[in-house]
Amino acid sequence: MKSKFEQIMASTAQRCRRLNSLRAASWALLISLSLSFLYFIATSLALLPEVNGLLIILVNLLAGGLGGAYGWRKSIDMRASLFQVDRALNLGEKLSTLHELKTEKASSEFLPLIEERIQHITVDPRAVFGLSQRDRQRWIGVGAGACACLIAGLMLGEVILFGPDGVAVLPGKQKKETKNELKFKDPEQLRTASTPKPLSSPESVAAKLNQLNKKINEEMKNPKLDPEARKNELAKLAQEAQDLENTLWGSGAPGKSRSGAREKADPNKSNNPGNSQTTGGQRPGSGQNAPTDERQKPGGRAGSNADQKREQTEQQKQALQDLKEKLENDQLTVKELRDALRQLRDKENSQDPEVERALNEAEQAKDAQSAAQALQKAIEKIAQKQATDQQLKNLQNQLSRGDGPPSEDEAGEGRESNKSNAQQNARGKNSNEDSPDKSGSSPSTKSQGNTSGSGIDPTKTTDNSNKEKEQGPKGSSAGQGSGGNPLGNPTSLPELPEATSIIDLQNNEQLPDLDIIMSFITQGMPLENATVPQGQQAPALKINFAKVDTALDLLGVPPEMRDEILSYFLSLSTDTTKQLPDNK
Amino acid sequence: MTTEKQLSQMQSKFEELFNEIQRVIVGNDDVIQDVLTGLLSEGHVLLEGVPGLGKTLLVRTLAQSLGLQFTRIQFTPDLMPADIVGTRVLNEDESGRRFFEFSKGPVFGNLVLADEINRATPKTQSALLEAMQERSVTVGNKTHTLEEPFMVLATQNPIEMEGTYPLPEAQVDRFFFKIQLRYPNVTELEGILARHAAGEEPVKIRQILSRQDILDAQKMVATIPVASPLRKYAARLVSATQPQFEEATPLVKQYVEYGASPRAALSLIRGAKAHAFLAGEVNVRVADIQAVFYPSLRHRIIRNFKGEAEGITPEAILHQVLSEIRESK
Repeated sequence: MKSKFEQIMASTAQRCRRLNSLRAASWALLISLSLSFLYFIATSLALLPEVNGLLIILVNLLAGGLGGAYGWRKSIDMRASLFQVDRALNLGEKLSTLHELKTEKASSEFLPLIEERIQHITVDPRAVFGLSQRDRQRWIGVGAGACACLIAGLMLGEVILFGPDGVAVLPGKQKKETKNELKFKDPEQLRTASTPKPLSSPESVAAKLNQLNKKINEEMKNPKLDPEARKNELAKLAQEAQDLENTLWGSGAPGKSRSGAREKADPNKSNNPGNSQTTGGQRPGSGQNAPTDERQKPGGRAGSNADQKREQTEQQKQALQDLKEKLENDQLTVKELRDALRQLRDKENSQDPEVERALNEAEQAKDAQSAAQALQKAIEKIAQKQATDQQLKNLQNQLSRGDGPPSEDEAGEGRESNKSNAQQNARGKNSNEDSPDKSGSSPSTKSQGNTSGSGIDPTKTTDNSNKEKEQGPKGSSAGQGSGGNPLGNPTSLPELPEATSIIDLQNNEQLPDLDIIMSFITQGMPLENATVPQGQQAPALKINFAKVDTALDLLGVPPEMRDEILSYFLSLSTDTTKQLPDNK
Repeated sequence: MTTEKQLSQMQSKFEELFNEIQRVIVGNDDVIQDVLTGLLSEGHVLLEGVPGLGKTLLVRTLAQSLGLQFTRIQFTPDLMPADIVGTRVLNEDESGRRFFEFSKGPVFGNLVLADEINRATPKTQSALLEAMQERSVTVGNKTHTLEEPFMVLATQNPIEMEGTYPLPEAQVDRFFFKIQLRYPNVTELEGILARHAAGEEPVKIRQILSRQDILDAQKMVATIPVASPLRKYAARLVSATQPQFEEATPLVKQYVEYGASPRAALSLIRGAKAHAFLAGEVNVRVADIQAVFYPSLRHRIIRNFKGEAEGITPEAILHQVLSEIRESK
């Protein structure tokens, strides 16, 4: 069992170690925080490279911990400490005397006498050893240093909890945004993650664009939808395209464009025949209060904003290309490049984080070669974005043209085209026999021509108002069929063959004619699409049996005739050598 | 081996002695305490005070209560050293043969009162040097050891400077303590009057301690432990009286010619031990050092001309030293 004196010594030693530890930790933290602050200043002056904010915090904590450990292990002057206890608690210097007698192992007659007298002493080292005024001031300094570093970190966007734009990113929010993403290891990734990359990067927009294409295709192939619902669906898809554009260019007015889309999707408004007749070139939705310009450009203000940004991007690309060429031709030093890039970024800030990153790399590059590579990377990113934008633009053009009446010229051309197609259909000519050049368009175009040209109304029970209604859309559909030919654009040709057909159907508001129904059943028009060399047989028709019943319903085929028709189609599908008949 | 019981017995005896002296000496309790401290420290005490303050009475009362051999030397200008230490006298035995025989002087006592020591010439004063320091007296070619305990209690009058010979520094330094007696206050004076005015017989002093008791007590006090921080404190206090020392106070630097010597530091520690003993403690405390600081050092501060001219007292200098030097550094 420990004697009273040993207990007092132990508690005093522990207290002294703790205070030493705190003192050393405060010194270490003060120094490390000062250095961190200087580092932040140096970083802001671009004298030092940026380091992860978390790393800085960890280094400071480590410094504090090491200081604390050093202080704890630091030797204690027990003699002085006990003397301090003696003085503070007015113990008559018994503890220090006893300690000396014990450590020196001197045989003193008074040793037992002193030990006996301290038995009744109660010592609380906390009452003796507290943080001195200097220690408190130092800790205040540590706190101030931490605040200064935090503020500096915030200003430089280096702290992990904050994004580069200085906006706090809540961990939960960040988690949500990066739900399906990777765990980040470097600050560059973190910064990129804090910006809405999945929404704004050209790759993600391109992916969405493909999804949109697929949707449109599906809509076209879905015969169960009535024209009204189809129209609505297409309006929604058009809105999605608009949103994609907004996302691509970072112009946020999706709410506005969405409301526009809702108005567009309203069939009562968009199918106002009077408007469509009187305004001619105006689109069906022009009966609304929305300005014509805004209606013509998808997204209204957002559209003009996007145009502006397109222009800016092009300028930026040009400027970067110039810089790269100069750099490669040794007309520009790395330092000059940095200045030029800073000026460029001050002038127009790129919305694309990947471009930004590439520009950062170019700025921080130490030699011309790596700078040129980084510039090339940035240029490629911009080009990629522009390509995606072009693709999106094409899609929007298709959608917008399907939405409104064409201009008179276009409408005329469309009519002529439709007429020729109708004649072709009337002649029952197999498309395999005609060259594609003769038909003047791709198979899809033909399909459109057929759609508008045939003008078959299977319902036949519609009243006059319906008939009047049919005329407007009919004309517009005709115009759409040729004038708004999206297939003239080579990029959109393989991607969106069916979309235009659906658009025609939407605007036509007629039940599709037999060719259209055939196209439903046959999953497109493979025979028309195929170019069969002379003397060879065309491939057999692929029949979508699931759609046969629907097609027969639409045509109003009597039930007793259906078996016969089905057996005919079955024979087509089983006998692959047979050619498609000229007509039904 | 000192036990708690022995210690407490001895301490109670000294308490009794203190009370016995108080029966004669009214007031000046601190003076009595310091004298006893000097006794326990085996030191010599210089009592300084104007005439009539009871210096001689104090020493006589102490001698009576201790049961020691008390001698008194009245220092006068014509006093010779031989009058103090003794001399060899020519004697003749029964057969008529003559021989020199040493006749012991008054210094051969246990408690020697050197009254008005500053009235004798320096030559005579220095006769006490060897006795005080070496506790022995050499006469001719023979050295005579003084009997223990040996204590010189000298008195001097500080105001009467004419016809006096201030003690040389070397001799003053040999005094363990210099105790200054003050005038009694009204209450104390009234008490003095009450005891002596009615023509009563002088108070009979009982012997409280034997010679052996004193020797035992002195040994006991010498073994009282002192912690190193206290030794350091004492050393710093003494050093602070030296003008060349970095911790010297402004007064020291300005007005002190020579500070306290190492002997002063020894006096301080030994006096602190005795003070602790008298206070019933078993170890030296800071309070003990501070209590004996003034009597130990005041006669060891040698002021410069400026200090003397401006009337800076050694007490003022020591006060500043004591207040400025912290016990722990």
